[in-house]
Amino acid sequence: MQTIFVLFIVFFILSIVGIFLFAQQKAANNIKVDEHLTLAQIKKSKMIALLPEVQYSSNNVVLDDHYDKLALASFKNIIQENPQYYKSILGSIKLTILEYDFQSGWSEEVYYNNELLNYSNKKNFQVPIVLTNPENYEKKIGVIYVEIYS
Amino acid sequence: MDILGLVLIVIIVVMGLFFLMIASRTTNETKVDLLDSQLSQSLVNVMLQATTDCGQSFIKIVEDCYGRNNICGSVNSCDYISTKSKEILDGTLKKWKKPYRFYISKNNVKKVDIDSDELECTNLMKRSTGLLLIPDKEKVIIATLEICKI
Repeated sequence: MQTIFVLFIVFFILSIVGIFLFAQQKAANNIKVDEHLTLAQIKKSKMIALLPEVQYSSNNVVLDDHYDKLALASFKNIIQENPQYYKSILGSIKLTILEYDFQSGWSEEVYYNNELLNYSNKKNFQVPIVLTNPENYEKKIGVIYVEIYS
Repeated sequence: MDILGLVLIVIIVVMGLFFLMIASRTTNETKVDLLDSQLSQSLVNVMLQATTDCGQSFIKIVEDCYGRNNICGSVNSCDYISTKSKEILDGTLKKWKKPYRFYISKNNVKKVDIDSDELECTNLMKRSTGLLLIPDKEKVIIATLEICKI
């Protein structure tokens, strides 16, 4: 009776350790997947921030985190005219640009939407930018809001 | 006596599992902190570069808050910064469920100090901080944006 009792407890402990290790492994895998997705996020954010179509330059010097408002207005048409090209470089993302106006508040506009219908994972990130109007050098607060589907 | 041995084994196994759990938690938190500190730094940079509806840049109004306090006509510069910063940060960080605190200080005198109200940034929370130093008559004005981790 005593042997059966000891064996039962030993198996019980072993099964708990087994369950824990399995859960641990699963969590470690999720962290790795998450790391890959974050890396993809950072790559995408750099790619979007450096798109020559929307970059703002002053005296031929490209300014980091500055978007040209006039170029941005025509960017939407450029995307519609070349969907395959942007699909190949941007992938399955939704790109929204939020703009803050000191009088009317926040507004948003979707520039590119290639949303996956059956996605298993969705991540989003935000990159604050300065939206500069080259006509009067007025600077507005903007945010690139990207949703990545995988 | 046998039971005592089993209890000892169970305690050792539980302690082992507990330490494994603690060790596996650290890496993911570091990554989130890095992304949030980038976001807070970019947001504070972008915010203070913007041109406001009274024709002045946000940074000039911050400087005026510690000076004559009337650069925007009848509107108090410090009140203007508080109202507009709250509108900007509520429309971004609060909307994305990120508790924040934004304050401007010079020589330890805080004239602007706002937060995300019900999404509280408590003292126990980890913070990712973005700073902008504005030189002003021998002293420095410091604009600080803290994003707290829930």
